[in-house]
This record gives sequence, C-alpha cells and structure tokens, in this order.
Amino acid sequence: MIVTGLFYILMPVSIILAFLWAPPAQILGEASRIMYFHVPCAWVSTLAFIISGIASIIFIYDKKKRFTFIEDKAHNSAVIGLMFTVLTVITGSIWAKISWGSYWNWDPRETSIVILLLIYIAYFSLRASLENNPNRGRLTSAYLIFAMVTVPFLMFVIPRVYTSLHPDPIINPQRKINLDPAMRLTLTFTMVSFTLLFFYIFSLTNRLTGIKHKIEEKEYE
Amino acid sequence: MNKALIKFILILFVAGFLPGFLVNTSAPLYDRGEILSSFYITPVFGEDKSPAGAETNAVPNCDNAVLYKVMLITLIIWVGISAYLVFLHLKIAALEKKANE
Repeated sequence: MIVTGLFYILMPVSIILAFLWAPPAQILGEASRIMYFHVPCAWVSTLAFIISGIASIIFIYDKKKRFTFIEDKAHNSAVIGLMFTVLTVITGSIWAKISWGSYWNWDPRETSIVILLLIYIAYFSLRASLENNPNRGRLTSAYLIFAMVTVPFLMFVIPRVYTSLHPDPIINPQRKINLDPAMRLTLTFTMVSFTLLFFYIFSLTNRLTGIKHKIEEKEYE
Repeated sequence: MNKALIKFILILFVAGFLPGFLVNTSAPLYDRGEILSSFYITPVFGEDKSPAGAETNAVPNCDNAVLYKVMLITLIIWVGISAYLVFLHLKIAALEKKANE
C-alpha cells in the first residue's frame, strides 16, 4: 500500500523532472533525456534477476516449506526482469540511433544484454518444458541461480573491460559521479520511482499467483 | 525433458561462460581515447563507415524534434506499462470473484 502510494506520487514527479527540469547533456543534447528511463530500466532488470536468484536459493534450501509459493515468486521476478530488459534494449536502441546513427552496433554492452536476454528466454522455455515434472521447481531454481551469477558479469564487468561506444558508467572507474547536480537528482528520482514500480508489479503478480493457487486447491477439493 | 540433458546443459553453460568472464575481469579498464579511435572501426551496419560518415553521425542533436521524439517514445512505453498494470488489476479482480464463488 505504501509502495503503491509512493509510486503514484514519485513517478509523475520523476517524469516532470526528466522532461522539464533536468538540463540537456553536452553533445548528446535533448536525446540524453532518454537516460532517465534507460538507466532505471536496466537497474530494475538487474534487481529483478537478483531477487529471482535469491528466491530460488530460498526455495532450494527451504526444506520445511516455510515460504509459500517462493518458486512462483522467483518466476514472477524473472518475468518482470525480462520485461525491463526488453525495455532497456528498446530505449537503448533508440538512443543509439539518435547519437550513433544506427539502432544496433554490436557494442559490447549491446552484445552482453542480448546474451542476458537469451539466458532468461532459455529459462522460460525450460520451465514450460517441465510443466508436469514434479522436480520443475528444483530444476528451474537451479537454473535461475546460475543465471543470477552471470548478471553482474554481463551488466557491469563486460562493458567496463572492452572498448565501447557506450558512455562512461554513471559511477566511473575513478569512482566519481560525473553528472550535473540537477541531472543527478532527476536520475535518483527516476531510479527510486522505477524501483517502486518493480515492487508494485511484483506484489500484483504475486497476489495473482496466490489467487490462482487458491482456485486450484478449491477445484482439487 | 530428460533430467540428464538439463544437467548437461547447465554444466556446459557454467563451463563455457564463467571462466571466460573471470579471465576478462583481470583485463585493464579502457580509456576514452580508445573509444574515440574505435568509433571509426566499429561496424555500424547500414550506415556510412567512413570517417566523414562517422562525423556526420556524431553531430549533436539539440533541437525540439529530438525532444518530442524522446517524449513520444517514453509516452508509448508508459501507455504499455499502464495497460499492463490495469490488466493485472482486472485479472486479480476477476480471479478473486471466481475464488469467492
């Protein structure tokens, strides 16, 4: 409830700040405003994949089944993560077209995000193929844990190792944030708003899963 | 799917990907000069690859047309996200009704 309320207040404020208050960046100009959507989308996808991995670890070690529907929660988080990864790719491609002249350049960061997408698409096909398998939860959880391990490498390590057209990360190798204070504040607002959006969608999908299980139990009885 | 096959895929995945990533973390960080020089050699599919073409692509976009384009893109994304939220609320309401019957 608090998350939903905060989301409905902060998100409109973030959109107004992104378009009307933050100054355009040097060289990139007005196109830089897409950063306030592209960077938070990438952050939310990382957060979602990490949460799905943690939920999978809990599922594997929770022998007494203290956590209800934890495997479904891991799945829901992975779904949201994939959705935001696709949004990151779309916004990034549009930004690339405006500033580099082409939608796709096989830049290291673009390539690493495609690999990440393939890893999670493989998870969904694995889960779908094990529909009636009693070990589905354990197998898909094991896969999600392995998938989570690759996230930091694909999101943070690869783009910092290879030469890239992509702008410097927000926190660069000198550990300084090279952003105008107004841009930094706007980015902070959008990051918080998108994090709230993630928890909002996550709570809705979990609620939906809970109701579905309730109906299934009723039908079984 | 066969359990052994899934295990094999997982082992292959770990064996194939992780060592590569771990080795790469020891490589030095790049610098901006390298990025600028790589701009000309990075394949830009469907675009002019010559230095002149690259300069054309690097022209800053500080006009309203770009701003409106960015606004339109984010608007479309927001319509999509809002539609998804409405869909989730409607589905929850429908299923709750079904569960309480």
